[in-house]
Amino acid sequence: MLKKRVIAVLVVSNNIVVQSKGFNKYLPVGSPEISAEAFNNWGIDELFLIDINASKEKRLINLDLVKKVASKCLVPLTVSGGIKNIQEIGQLFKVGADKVCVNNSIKNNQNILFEGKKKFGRQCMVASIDSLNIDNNFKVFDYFSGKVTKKCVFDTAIKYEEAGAGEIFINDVSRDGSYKGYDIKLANLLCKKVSIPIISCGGAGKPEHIVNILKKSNVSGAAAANYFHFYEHSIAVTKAYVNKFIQIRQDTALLYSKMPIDNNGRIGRLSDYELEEYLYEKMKVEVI
Amino acid sequence: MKLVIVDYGVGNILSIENAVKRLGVSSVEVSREKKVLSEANGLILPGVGAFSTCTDKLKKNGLSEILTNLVIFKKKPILGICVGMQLMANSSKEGGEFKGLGWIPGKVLRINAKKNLPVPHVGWNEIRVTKPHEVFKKIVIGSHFYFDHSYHYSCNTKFVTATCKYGETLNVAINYKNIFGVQFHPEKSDLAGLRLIRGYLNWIKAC
Repeated sequence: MLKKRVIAVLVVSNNIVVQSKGFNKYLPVGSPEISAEAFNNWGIDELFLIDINASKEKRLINLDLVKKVASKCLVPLTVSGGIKNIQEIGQLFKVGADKVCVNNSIKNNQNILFEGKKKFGRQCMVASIDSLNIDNNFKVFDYFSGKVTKKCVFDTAIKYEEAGAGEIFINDVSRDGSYKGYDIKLANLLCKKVSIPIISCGGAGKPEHIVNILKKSNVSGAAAANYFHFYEHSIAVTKAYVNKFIQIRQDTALLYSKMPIDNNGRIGRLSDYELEEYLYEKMKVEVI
Repeated sequence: MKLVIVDYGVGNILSIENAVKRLGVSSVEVSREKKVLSEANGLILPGVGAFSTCTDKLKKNGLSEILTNLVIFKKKPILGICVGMQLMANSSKEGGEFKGLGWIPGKVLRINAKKNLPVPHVGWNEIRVTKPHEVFKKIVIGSHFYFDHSYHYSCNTKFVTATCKYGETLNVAINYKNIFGVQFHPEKSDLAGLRLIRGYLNWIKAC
């Protein structure tokens, strides 16, 4: 069975991972390389690396940075930031990207999706849409100008699929950094409109939110940025919690499946009896 | 042992190189030179992108004949990954009808999207080993691998070594003598992927 994905997003500004809130406030978190390495060790299913300034500064994401992050990455890496043509997509693949994600360069003209599909295949072209919920009308938000447009999110998604997108990354601006949970209604409406995989992003604040979006909608993945950065083994703990409700991939060496975890993602204490058992358990080190 | 990743201008070669290096293989080269390829103990044929783009590039670099000679006549072990595996078929229906290398009889067809399943087939899927093989020796039952494809390899079950379920049953690993192909990306499949690559390296030694 195909498992739904838990995806971590590294939002990068000036080559530093930042915490983003409502698309306008940013706090520094740390080095992208170290985040990528930790997330890999903690069992993430996929990584997104997004440079939020690249398009505005009319340049491509730093190739050296992509190369460094890719070298730490044993899971798929999707790269986004300032991509304008298929030559640049080729450059990104050369430095270790597995997929690319485009947003600003397709808002008026989807040619890059069409050409990318022809040259690299649909499966490595991800189209990203920033959505803003205005009284249950989902409109495309243009982060470039910081304004909401008149375009309908669903029509835009259909257009992107027709042009050659292999996945849609839907980012809910109204919930970005809010820790309120994902917009399940948006996800469900979108899944009905397109036949390619959807990744939901924006609003994750606790493991329960990820369970809700994965269980109550047909999205293929739940992405989160801020939420994963601030505690040790965040991904392993989150995935162990989520796995109790919906089966996801649990292949990491860090197994929290036997631990009591509450819906805020806090680990409880094992009983004295169980702790004693662990005391004498010999762990075998695997050499691959 | 010397491992060579075939470089024909497509595919995310760096991630394969990174994964192999993680396993401590010091002698790994990326090349399209006939001499380097023929000196290798084993080859990896990567592939990302459209089937026809890949076959065009193989032909342009004169690699179709070189590789066929090395693999079919010199019996050099080779691991095809994703489109690298699909290239081994007789033909592909991706974006028309295109001829492949024809090493393992089969056709590359579009995934039949039933039950509203999205295509491409993207994500982590469990594989079922249908025929034990040295390459799978280190794999734990129930392991997940990363897939990202819209087309699949349709061939006689005697060549199939592993399958996965996505609406229909897809052939995800094939083998014939010294040729091995996997539809998923072991270089992007975390520890399970490393175990598979280690299996391939051990198989090369045994070949």
